[in-house]
Amino acid sequence: MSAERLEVHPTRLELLALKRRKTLAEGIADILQKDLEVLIISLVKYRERASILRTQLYDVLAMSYRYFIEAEMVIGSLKVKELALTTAPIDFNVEIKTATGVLGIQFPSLDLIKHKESELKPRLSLIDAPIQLVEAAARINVVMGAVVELASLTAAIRELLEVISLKRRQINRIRFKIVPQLDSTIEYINYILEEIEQQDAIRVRVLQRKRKERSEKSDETSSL
Amino acid sequence: MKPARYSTIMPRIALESLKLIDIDELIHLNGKNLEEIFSFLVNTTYREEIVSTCGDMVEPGLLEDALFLNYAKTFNKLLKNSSGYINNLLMSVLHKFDAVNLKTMFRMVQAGMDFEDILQYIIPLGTYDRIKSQAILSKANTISAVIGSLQDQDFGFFLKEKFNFQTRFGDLTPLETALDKAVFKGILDEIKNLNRKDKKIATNIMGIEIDTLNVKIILKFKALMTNLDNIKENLMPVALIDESILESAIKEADIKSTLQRFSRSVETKHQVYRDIFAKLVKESDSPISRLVFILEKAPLEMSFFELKKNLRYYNIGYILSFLNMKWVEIKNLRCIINGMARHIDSDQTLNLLLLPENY
Repeated sequence: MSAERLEVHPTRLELLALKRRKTLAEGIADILQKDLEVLIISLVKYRERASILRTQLYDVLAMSYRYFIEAEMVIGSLKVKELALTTAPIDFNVEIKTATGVLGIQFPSLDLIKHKESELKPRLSLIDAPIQLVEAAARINVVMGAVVELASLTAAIRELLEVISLKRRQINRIRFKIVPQLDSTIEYINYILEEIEQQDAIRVRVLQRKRKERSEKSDETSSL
Repeated sequence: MKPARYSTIMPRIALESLKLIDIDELIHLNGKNLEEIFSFLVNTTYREEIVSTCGDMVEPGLLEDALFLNYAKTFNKLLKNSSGYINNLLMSVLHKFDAVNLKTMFRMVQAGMDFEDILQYIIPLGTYDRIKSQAILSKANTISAVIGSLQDQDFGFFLKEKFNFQTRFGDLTPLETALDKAVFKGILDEIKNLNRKDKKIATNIMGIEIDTLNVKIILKFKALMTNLDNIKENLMPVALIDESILESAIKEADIKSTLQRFSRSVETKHQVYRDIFAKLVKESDSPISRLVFILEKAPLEMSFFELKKNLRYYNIGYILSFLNMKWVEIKNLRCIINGMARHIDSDQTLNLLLLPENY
């Protein structure tokens, strides 16, 4: 598919300007490609961290769920429900901030803010709650930090993916639209300029021939 | 206690003890499906309650309810066949279930549950059974109203005293702790009225339950809480492990040293206490759930010990040990039923069963 030409005057001046623009566009594409590589490396690192964290999180949640089931086995599901209904909820908040990451990109950063008072008192009845339920609740409480960190990482990964996608679109636009367009226009101007040059050359040759013929004719008339 | 006091209750205990499910058979139930468990239970002492509660439906909740109903029936038979101090002691033991049901009412009322829904959470046992609870809850929809309706009952007066600012704003812990303390104090007071030998046996069997409860509370605090200031408020009355030992154990830096402190303090005390705490010290690096499980088994161990030690037929040990064993049987059955309902591996269920140490 041939690229669309730019609407320019086919002059030598425009040709030079277009060649400068092409060099600049290729330079920008190279810089963007390097940025893209840095972003991809960063994305892989974030993803690895998120993967490790997610595995740890699932392990803790699985263990917590196992304890929860054991609690139901030990005291019955109704008692567990009864204790859960009157348990003081974990008092926490999530603060959203922005952190500067790779290439100066602003990532959303989530911080878990726990109220210390909630750790001073037992949440579940010390006498009625089986230890399995207490441990399950404690693990969930601990895992909240990891959940928020994972959410923060996921937000950063999403931001990175958006930036990577943007960069890739920019590179593609330069490489597959702007540069071919410039190439096509340069080629066109070159062609036009060559055409003009050829016409000029023919015209010069015709003029030279005519001048030669005229001079030969004038020489003949003078000799006569 | 005079043998005459035991003349009617002991044959009943002997009869009921024979109806206990053999441990081998109980373990054999583990891993079987609900239909098989139902078929097994229908041929045991639970038949009447299973048939009347479950009918054609075999559900874990209904089976659990039938087990409680059977325990209630057995307990009522013992109460009926007992007199004097034995009856008083059994009544005080039954108050444990009253406390459980009262706490359930408080919690559910605080959670804003409808009174008809609350009734399914009530254990059909003790003074505050479903009929009594329905009568209370149909008229009272706040905690203060529930307490108000109890004023002429056993716990009414002191609960009214304990219902304070903190409770009014949703923290039920002081109320619940006070209720449990009153129940255990009542049991220990009733034990004091028994004669010398019975008093010793009853103190051992009921005392280990209360003492291990205190140890469990301390361990839970040490393992999970950052602030140890308010442990003391949550401790129950003491039996063989007194307040000074509990206080010094609280001050210990970690769980291991706490258990070592307890172990040192029971060196001159009962053999079962020594064995339990020696085992706890040995396994002090295990997860807290394992330590608590060892403590859970302590009343059963004490029951078996007292049964072996006191061969004389007429003693309170037979009655209290039977109650412990029956309750443990129901807990084990519940564990097996719920484990099966949730498709839990039979090995995992087996680890949660309360079985005698040398089984």
